[in-house]
Amino acid sequence: MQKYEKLEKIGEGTYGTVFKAKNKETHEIVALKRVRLDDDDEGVPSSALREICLLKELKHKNIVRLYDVLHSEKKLTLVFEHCDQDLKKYFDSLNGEIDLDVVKSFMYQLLRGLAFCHSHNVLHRDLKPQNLLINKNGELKLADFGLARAFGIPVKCYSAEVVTLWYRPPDVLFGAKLYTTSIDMWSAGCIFAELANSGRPLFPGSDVEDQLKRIFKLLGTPNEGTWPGVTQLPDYKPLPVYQPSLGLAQVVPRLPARGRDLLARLLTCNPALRMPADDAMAHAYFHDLNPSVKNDRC
Amino acid sequence: MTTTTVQNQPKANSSTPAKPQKTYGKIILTLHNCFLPESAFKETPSQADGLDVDTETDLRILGCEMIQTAGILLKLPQVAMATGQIYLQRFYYSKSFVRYPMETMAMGSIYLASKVEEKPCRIRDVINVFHHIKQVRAQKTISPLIVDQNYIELKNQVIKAERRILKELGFCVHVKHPHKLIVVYLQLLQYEKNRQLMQMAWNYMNDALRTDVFMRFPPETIACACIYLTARKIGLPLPNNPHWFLLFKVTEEDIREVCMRILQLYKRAKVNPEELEAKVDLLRKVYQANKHMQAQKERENAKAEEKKAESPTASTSKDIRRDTKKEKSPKTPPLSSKYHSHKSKKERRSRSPYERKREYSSKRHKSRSRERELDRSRERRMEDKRRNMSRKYDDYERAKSSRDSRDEKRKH
Repeated sequence: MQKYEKLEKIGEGTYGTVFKAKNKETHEIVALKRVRLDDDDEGVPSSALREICLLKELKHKNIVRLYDVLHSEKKLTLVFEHCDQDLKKYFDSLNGEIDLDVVKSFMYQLLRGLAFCHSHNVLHRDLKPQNLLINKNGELKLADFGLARAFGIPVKCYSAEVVTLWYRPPDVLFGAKLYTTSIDMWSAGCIFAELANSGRPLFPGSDVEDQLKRIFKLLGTPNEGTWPGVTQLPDYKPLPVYQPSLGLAQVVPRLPARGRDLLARLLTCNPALRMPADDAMAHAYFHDLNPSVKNDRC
Repeated sequence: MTTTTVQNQPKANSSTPAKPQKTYGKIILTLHNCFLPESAFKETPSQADGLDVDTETDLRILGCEMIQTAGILLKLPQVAMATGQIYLQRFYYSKSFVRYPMETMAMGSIYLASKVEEKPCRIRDVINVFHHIKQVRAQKTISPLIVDQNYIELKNQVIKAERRILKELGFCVHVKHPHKLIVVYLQLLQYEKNRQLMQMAWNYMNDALRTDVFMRFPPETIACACIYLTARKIGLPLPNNPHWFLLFKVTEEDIREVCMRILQLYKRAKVNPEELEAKVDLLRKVYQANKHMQAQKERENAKAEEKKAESPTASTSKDIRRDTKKEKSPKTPPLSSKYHSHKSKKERRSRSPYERKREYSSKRHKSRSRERELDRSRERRMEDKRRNMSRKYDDYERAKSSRDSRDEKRKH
């Protein structure tokens, strides 16, 4: 611990306090996430466990780097790469409308980070603006893998209470337990719309039912025709039948047609038809992306 | 999580070209450390503490057996038991049975594995189940565990065990198991309908967890070996022109090696837990006596040095003290380095004395409970959150019927 000088508190994470700190040797700024380990408790929180186990494998430009884990009797400290702000704060700091090139760049980086996670069999499961970090070079990084999990061996049902309500896909809202990478793609779609609207959330539902209604009002209520098996989902309940308004042009007026097409492909109720991250990266919307963003391969 | 194409160091660095090489990592964050070099098996920490090879092997077998039984009673999926057994095995290649009691570490292993495999159970249940197993083994009348000071102490021990395992394994807790591979391979060979073959191969694989093959060979090899062994046992000829296992890029030599190690397991006499315990206890007493003496010496040395260095600034005296300890403790180098590449050995070695010093110092102040009390309410809230995601297992007695459920799992 002596290696780092605590500077200020940044916030409260899922399972601990986050501090900004300076490495005394290299003078580099890092973020310290402190996990309290109380002896009377149930050991290391599984969210911390997940975050460490998964993040240490995911080394990518668009994923926040876990540099180190400091271990002591009373606490566990995760040393992260420091980013200046999260996307939520970025929205708050905007004066007026967001630059559409920035939307494109952020969206591309989000998809690239996700594609990397998914190719490594990791689901994030909690994508939202607060969990996307932005540094001063305009780089976007996925963070907070406390709910993430590795999938693959064995394919089994996972916990249902994942993803903040506003970014939760309809299949999970209906209690689906066998979700895949598509869960993150829905959240990415919601964030895309939020980006294009300079930070106004797309579906700010108040509870599960309200959330579903908001979604279906825009996209139309799914049925066995558009989404085979939907009525068999554990928590399925019949909802008012809304006709697909397809009014994406009204919802995200500033987004060009190609962008709206990509958004519609991400916001697809049937998870089987939702576009995967690598396909989304190849979408026509990104054809005129600033090459410096695109070519920055890692 | 598997040992898939994890980014290796150079590739990762190229992603942040502007920044110089980081000097952070104390815990090596890679997955390519699951296999141990031959030397690790020849000179284990337990043997260095005077434990004979046979006793150590028996302890490993017994520990794995307990994890397996406990997992069944706790209704955990087989993958959690497999993972737990691998933690236990790996742990004792970097720490000694003499210093870390097997039962506590076994409890810590299954507890951690249950979390990693997303079927979290409670520590209380783990302790109860182990208590039950021991009573059954000793053929005592079954009586519930009393919640007293001993219980609280044991619970703390399990929590500590979990953290020790995490530290020794460098948080590399995702294990790739051959279970699924066996199924996939048999499907490829078009034998998936042969229930006997499938089940027996799986049994061999579960027994193999009690050997050291998981520290020696990749899961692919183990999967092939289990199929190979079964086919021989039931007299089933598998394609041999070319040999079927070449399809999975496994050599016959390796397969035979794994088979040998598994078969050796069945030649061993039944483990006698009391005898093992007595042997370890004896060595533990010797170790503790030595440790006591060494600690005394250290204290004297530190005092002497402190006196010598009286004059410089006040803040340095602490550093000097730490330094003296650093010099002392490497007598037993942290063998955890075995899990890591040779390049990282130095780093690891320099780390552990520091950590050890931490352990010492924290023992000194034991009365922090009041401080804890304050945080407990906050913690509880978080715990609730976590619980939401987990299922509750209330009665382990109920779990006796779980044998069926396990068998069912095997079928899949």
